[in-house]
Amino acid sequence: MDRERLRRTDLWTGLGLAALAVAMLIGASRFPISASYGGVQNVWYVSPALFPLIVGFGILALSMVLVVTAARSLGRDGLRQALSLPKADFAPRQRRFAMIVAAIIGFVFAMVPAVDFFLATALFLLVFMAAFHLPDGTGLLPNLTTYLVLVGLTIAWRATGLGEVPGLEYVLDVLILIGIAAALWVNWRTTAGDPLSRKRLRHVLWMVAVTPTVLCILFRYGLLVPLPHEGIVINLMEAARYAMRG
Amino acid sequence: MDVFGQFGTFFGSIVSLLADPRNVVILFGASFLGIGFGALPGLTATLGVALLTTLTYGLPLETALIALLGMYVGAVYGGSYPAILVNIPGTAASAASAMEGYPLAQRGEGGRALGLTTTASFIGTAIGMVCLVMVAPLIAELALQFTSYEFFLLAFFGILISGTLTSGDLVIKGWIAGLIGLALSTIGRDRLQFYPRFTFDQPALDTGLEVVPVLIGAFAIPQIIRVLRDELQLGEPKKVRRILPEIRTILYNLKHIVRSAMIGVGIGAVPGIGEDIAGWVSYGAAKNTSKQPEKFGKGEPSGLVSTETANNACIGGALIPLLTLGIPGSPPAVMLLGALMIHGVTVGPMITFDRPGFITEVTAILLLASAAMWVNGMLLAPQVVKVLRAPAALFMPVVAVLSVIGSYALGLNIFNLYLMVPIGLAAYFLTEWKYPISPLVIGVILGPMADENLRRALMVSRGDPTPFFTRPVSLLLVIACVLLVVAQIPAVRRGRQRLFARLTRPRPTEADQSTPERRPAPPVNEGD
Repeated sequence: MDRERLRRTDLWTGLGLAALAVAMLIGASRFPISASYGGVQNVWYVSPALFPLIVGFGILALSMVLVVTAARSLGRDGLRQALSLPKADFAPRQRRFAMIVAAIIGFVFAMVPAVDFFLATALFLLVFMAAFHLPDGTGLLPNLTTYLVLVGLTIAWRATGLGEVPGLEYVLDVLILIGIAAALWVNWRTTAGDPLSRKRLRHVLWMVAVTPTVLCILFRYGLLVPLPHEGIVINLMEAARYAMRG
Repeated sequence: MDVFGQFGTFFGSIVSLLADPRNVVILFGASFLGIGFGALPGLTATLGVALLTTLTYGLPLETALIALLGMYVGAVYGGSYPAILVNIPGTAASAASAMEGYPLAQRGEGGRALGLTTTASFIGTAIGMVCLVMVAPLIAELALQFTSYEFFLLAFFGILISGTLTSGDLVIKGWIAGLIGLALSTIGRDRLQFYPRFTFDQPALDTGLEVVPVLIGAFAIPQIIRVLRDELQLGEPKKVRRILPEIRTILYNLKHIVRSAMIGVGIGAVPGIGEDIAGWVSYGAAKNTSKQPEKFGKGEPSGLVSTETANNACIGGALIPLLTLGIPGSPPAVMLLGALMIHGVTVGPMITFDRPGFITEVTAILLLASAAMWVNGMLLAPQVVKVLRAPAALFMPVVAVLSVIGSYALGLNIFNLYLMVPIGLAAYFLTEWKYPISPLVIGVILGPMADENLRRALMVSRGDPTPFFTRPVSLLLVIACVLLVVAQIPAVRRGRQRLFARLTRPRPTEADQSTPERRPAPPVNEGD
């Protein structure tokens, strides 16, 4: 980031931080300062508000210094430019950024709490790796679309509450399994006729098969950590383990 | 404990650690994994220690420490592989190594360069370890005099100095990052009155922010985004045949080694800054004191040896304030502090009473970790070179999954994941806007200590702040904090520069005129 652009960003982040600091100060001023709490009469120096107030004032003061420094550095013309609305940037770099953030948010907020951890991980790795490992970014858009559709489906299913109904616990897992098959099909078609793409897809498939298996076994049976959501695959693994033990 | 007693405990620890074959396997495994982490683009020592912490929950403390220190030492050393073989440092710590290592590899001496790096790193870690065992008890003893006044100021000083030294842009941004960390640390019920602060009626926030998801979010998510967004990939590494320890060259450069080790330990002991700065300072010192500075930048072994000795000596240095004061000396040490907290170890002045042999035991593990690194480096380097060919698009998603399961595994709480993502995204934007992340994380860790001790101190003096200025150590810390801030005022800086210019007459030397034309590519990781 060049210096002038950085100062423009500083101006905005300084203002944003100042706003957050004010919110923090308002919040902290509502804590008991000299009023009684839990039957104890407070004094200012033991108040739970003391430290947040100091920190809030510190952030406010420093962010204002940042704003002034940035404004001085920009000058009048630069300041006018900084206050105008920035143009939307759809460069490939920004598209990749959006894909990464969407994939991570979808995985953490939608998939991990509701879908069998093995399946959620396999799907995440498949779309994430194919999106970035296939040459020339050919995998980016189809994989992102497939993933976002499946994330939407998961959110919708959770909203209905049907997953709690006995007998329907595994429906979402089955849907995600079908989603994985769909993502596989999409990538297989995208890489058709290009030996390099096909080779890279094979690398991806290896990783997708090995990583969730190793992680689930390591955490579930090695470290005895129950996985965030144990569904169709983990329960099958559990059944297989008991069958092997006799 | 006297010196002989300490040596007895030290060697006793080594023997008892090595007596368990599981420890040996974990030591060599973690060291190798660390070398891979350091060598791979986008993976850092901090991230390695963070992810490995999640696998050590169920292990006994000493085994967990073997794994974590093995990873730490290995990763700091591993960054030199891509620096030497591809001219792209794997970690910021190895950025200076590329200056001399790559020209050596271009001349077909890649194996020699790696041999020198390996031995220098071993010696650096060993000297750092000696300093740790000698200095740490003295500091711990001094720190026993500390009361709430000093603890509050110490936490404040730690955040201030790390903000000052880690800021790549305006110093004020480092301080703001530290204050944001302190602000985050106020979330949850306060420890003295149990009053809920900024919890927004969410019971999950009552206990405050867990350290591990904050650390993993702050260090892993920005890294994952950066590496994949920029499609980071290394070039084809230079071929390596045999790796030799090069004892003659090492002996010839003994003075550089000793000086670099001292620089590394000194820089490591300063909170928040770490191996990267140690590497560059040591490289600069080697060049400035060399009789043939014109050879620097063209494959000069002393430059490479100096850099690698310093960045590994930094590890021992970073552990000194961590163990004795509870203030981490470098970004990976921040993560190590989190790991120790998880294992129920409270580091700080009381460590010599709570766990009398702990510092000696850590020193013994550090020696074993550096020995494992040396053996791995000498024997397995050709295998590590293969790792450099792994595409980032394949291992970064795995790192993302490991971050998720690692954050969840502590406390088996989905809420930790909900916390990790926004913190990670905020850390990403902050790093993009040139705010350093280390002060933020140090702020989150030291915040409760600062809050509690400030109020305790004022409680003792019934609201009177004068003891902060009348107690000797406290006054020294106040003066240090004020000097740190005043030194950043532009007028003071200009005055200081003028004074220095007057005091030191510049002497144009050949070294100044022979600034190397080729500079290594910027490190793939901004922090270690």
